[in-house]
Amino acid sequence: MSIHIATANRLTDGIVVFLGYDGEWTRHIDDARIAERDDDIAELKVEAETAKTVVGAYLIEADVSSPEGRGRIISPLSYKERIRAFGPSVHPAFAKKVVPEHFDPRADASAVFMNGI
Amino acid sequence: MYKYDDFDHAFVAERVEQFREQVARRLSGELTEDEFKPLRLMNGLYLQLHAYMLRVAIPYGLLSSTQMRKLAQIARTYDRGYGHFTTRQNIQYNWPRLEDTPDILEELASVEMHAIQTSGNCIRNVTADQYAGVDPEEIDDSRVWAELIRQWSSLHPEFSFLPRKFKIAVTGAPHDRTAVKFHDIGLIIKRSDAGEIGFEVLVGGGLGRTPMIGRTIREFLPKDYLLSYLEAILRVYNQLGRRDNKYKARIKILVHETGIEELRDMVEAEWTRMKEEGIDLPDAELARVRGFFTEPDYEDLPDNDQYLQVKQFENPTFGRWVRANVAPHKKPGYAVANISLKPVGGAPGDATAAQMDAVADLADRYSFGELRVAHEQNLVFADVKKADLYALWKELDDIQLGTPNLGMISDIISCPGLDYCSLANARSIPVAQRIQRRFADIKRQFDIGALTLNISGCINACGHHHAGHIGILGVDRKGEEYYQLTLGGSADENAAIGKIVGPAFSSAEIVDAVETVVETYLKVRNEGEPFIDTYRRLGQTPFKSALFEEKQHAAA
Repeated sequence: MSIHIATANRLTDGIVVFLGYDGEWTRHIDDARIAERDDDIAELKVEAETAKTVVGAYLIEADVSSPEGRGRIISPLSYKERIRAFGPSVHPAFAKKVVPEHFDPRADASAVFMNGI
Repeated sequence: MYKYDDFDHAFVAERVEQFREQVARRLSGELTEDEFKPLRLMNGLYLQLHAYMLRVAIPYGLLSSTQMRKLAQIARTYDRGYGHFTTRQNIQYNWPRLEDTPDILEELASVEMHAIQTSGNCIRNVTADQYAGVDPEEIDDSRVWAELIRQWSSLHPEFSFLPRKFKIAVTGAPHDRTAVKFHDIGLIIKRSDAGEIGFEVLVGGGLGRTPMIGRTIREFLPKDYLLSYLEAILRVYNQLGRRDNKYKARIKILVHETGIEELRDMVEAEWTRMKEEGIDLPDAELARVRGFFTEPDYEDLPDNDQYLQVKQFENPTFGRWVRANVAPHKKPGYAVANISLKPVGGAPGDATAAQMDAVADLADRYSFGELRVAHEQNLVFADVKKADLYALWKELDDIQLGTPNLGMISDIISCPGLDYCSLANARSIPVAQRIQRRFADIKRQFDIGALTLNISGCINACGHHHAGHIGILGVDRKGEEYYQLTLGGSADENAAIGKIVGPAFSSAEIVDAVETVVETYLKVRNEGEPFIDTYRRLGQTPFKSALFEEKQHAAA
């Protein structure tokens, strides 16, 4: 199912963050507040763009799923946003700590095709 | 190397304090991002995909070991333990915190470095030949002129808001290692028939979405007029360069639209007036700057290679390193040693803090405490005793910096690509790594010989893909990473722009496509003929046929 979430870079350190339900920005994409209906999407956009603690906020489209026993998983639709959310795909040590299993940055780069992320 | 005087120290320190205040005002909310962005960019601070990115200028690629240690310390203290050397001889940190950047700039200032003019529509870090001062064929030391241009262009009030960024390269050797013909202004040092030093001045070269080879605007400019002539070009560009369209704002478009003859007339007219204004340097100032680039304390050595030959024979890997990475030096008994930052599977141009520290120590012991950064994203020890080469290589090899691949297919120039860059359409580094792995067999690389392969993750071409013998450009095709292949580019004195060879390849196909090109070359080359010469002799046909027709054949 395709939904919208808000993302930005944190002002103090530039780290990628997502707008959560409590109005705080979180590093964990799975905790992002999701918007489906047009008026919710518009509201999310306004809230994100007027936030003072982040830079360059915008909305992205994502898939959301809840496999049994895993909680909610959010994965951006575009590969650019997936790399932004989970990467970099090189330098495994510096990739985000919370990533879906199927995006294993330690994998041989030859196996990392974006279609599978 | 150049040493800051009191004025330089005060000027850079003042900039750090200014920026500290600006950052504080941004963090307190007093400045909006729109207000702050131009200020941070003037200090080299970008906002990239995952974090801020700080680009630090390394003037004409020259570093002391003390500066290198500082770069390592910054990587360790304020970043994530590594840095990325760029195609303009700079270094980028991928993870600095905004809060820390004033401190980082203060640390840099303590070793006479800064990040001024590494961004924005101004004259950027001037690049020069990494073999400057030591190439036996050199006419004059390009660093002297690059330093003069740096001083002239630093915060030049007239040229701080140009239509677009402006890049200058200087080479003093007949063999060009600076990609001089792909710069907004390229300066090739020449000697006149009368023995006088001067410059062939090229204008309007560049890569990006409209790649162009620089045109000669003046065959020979006597050295004494360098600054007035540069100022005349910049003034004409500043007035006439397009500000209505970012993609048409570089001087190459002005040259293309106006024509080199008409532009030359305008520049000459401007220069005639400007020469009289006395902005050119007096001889004493030129001599003062030249005085910073004197020779180190070379020993008088016999040019005896016997020890080296024995070691090369005893250790074939070392032998290959000497053949690929070591270049001749003007002084008997000395050599230039290139340190490849392209180990198999590494990120091209990346060095860890530990490697930077180790290289700094090695520079102290083996190369008079200095090193250079090459635009190919490698490091250079310019003054190594031939008798020390084996010991140096062994120590380099211990820290994964002994790869013998300079100028070969795995010595890939690559931009950071979509793994870091917010402008990129596709990833570059993973493709580079897969190609390096495919061609990991060093004997195979030696059989292939001289072959440059450059990768950019978008049309802006930071990875110089048009200038590679083989070029790869990442594109987004319907939400998937695809890669366009170009062939026949060249960044040296015989500069050429690579031509697209056909439809783009998927990420899964691109490495096979590169291998097909290489295997085709091996089949059709004449004895001893390098890839680029084979391409120039035969054109795209055999490669295109192997890539597309035979493939279709196989599918049918």
